[in-house]
Amino acid sequence: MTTEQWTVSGPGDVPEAAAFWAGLAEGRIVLPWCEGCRQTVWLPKAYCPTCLQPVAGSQELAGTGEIYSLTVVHRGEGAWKEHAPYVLAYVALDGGPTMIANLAGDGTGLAIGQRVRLAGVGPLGGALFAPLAE
Amino acid sequence: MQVLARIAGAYEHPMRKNSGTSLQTLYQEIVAGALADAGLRPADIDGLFTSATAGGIPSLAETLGLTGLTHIDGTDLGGATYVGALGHAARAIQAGQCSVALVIMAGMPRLAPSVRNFSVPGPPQVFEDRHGSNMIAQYALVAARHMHEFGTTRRDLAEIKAAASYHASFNPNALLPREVSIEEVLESRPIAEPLHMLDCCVTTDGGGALVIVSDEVARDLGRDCPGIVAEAETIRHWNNGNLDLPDVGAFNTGPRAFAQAGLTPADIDYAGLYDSFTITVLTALEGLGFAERGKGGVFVRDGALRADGRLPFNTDGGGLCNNHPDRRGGMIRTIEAVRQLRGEAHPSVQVADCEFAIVHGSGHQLGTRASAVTAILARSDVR
Repeated sequence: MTTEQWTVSGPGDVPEAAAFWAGLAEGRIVLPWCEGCRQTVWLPKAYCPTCLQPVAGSQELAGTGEIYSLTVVHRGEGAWKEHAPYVLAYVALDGGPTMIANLAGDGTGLAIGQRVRLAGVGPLGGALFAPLAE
Repeated sequence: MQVLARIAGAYEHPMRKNSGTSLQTLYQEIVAGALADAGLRPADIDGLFTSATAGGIPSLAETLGLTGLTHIDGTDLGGATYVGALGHAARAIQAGQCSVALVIMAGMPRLAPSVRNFSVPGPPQVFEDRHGSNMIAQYALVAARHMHEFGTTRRDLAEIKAAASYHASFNPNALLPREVSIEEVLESRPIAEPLHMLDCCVTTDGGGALVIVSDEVARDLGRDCPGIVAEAETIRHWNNGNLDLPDVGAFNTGPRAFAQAGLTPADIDYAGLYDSFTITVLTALEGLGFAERGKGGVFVRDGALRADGRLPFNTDGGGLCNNHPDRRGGMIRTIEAVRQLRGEAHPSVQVADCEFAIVHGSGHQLGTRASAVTAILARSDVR
């Protein structure tokens, strides 16, 4: 089995993240919530990384946030080769973590600090954000 | 100042593109080179420091002819591994676990996929793959954020490559020995914006080794043996989604290394800085305290990193131009620092009166999970 096959669905594709991916398919961002630490858990885990207590609850975020950083990728690797140029970003979610994301488009008109909202699923199943309408 | 251990041998293999040498032969040539430099034999080695390698560490020990090992360390910190090994070996020697330690690495990523222990991805990589993250893009995210927060420019980053290429022009073994201008860097094709082709390091086949010995062994060798006076290491990661990309690991390891050595950035004559990408150097300069946070661009603008500048760096051409074997640069950055402290660098780039050198390694991906290791080395006459 090659590394590439592992990365699509291998031991790193943990069941703790299943609710996140299922929510994403419905246009929602759902994350584990640690009541004791009053924080979302990112990446999704069974135990809070701060207190190591089992995470009982979950929280749905608004799906909005701000672009923390972005790069227009001109040379994609593997399955991403055919999607270049595409935009990889970090989005600082309102009330949640700064998460890895895709931004819709080829980067034109996008800037760090811009407000964005979840707009669907990217070419390989990631979270796709687009600018909030002014 | 406490000298923890001394570097008796250093060897950079001249290979850059393999044309048929086996990994076994490459390892043998490297250990022979390092031991010849130190004036030691395989039978003298009792400590082995390496990381992921074909067949595992016992296979490597057989290749190298090591029969008297008493201390083995396979810590993998990505490209920073071999800077970390300076500290690990020095402390093992201090503890009496061994007295002659070999730090060795080799690989052939141009010829064949390199042998690594990252083949089974962890949970974060699933998230990265689904969003099209890759090595260069992760560094690009750091660069983009740095430019946004602090006004750093692509021209600042380009000067780092231009300075490295000037140094490489004196190194006949460099993969890219041609000096390039800032404009050439700016005009090279974009890979992951704001990083372009010439912001990226080379990929080479090859490797290198260091022989680290106790003070006592060093005295008997009659070789110029620079001292290891500090080493500090840490890891940065996604931290539950609390990102501060410009706050690289060097902000942790730099101050700790300087405190161990009782030195300040002003004492440093030469810097061996991990240069997987131009942004790797710029952020390290800030973390290590040569520039304030956000001022790395300002620091490099006037040519500070050039051989005649305030902080000469990577005088062999670095990973950007000379050599980045197995996609791991920490070994070669350390070897050039040893050359500088011995006065054995190319005369055109030799730093005058080079007393203290800093080496900084940055492993893995700066924008996701990264190791950082800082070591400080002293000329052999520093006691």
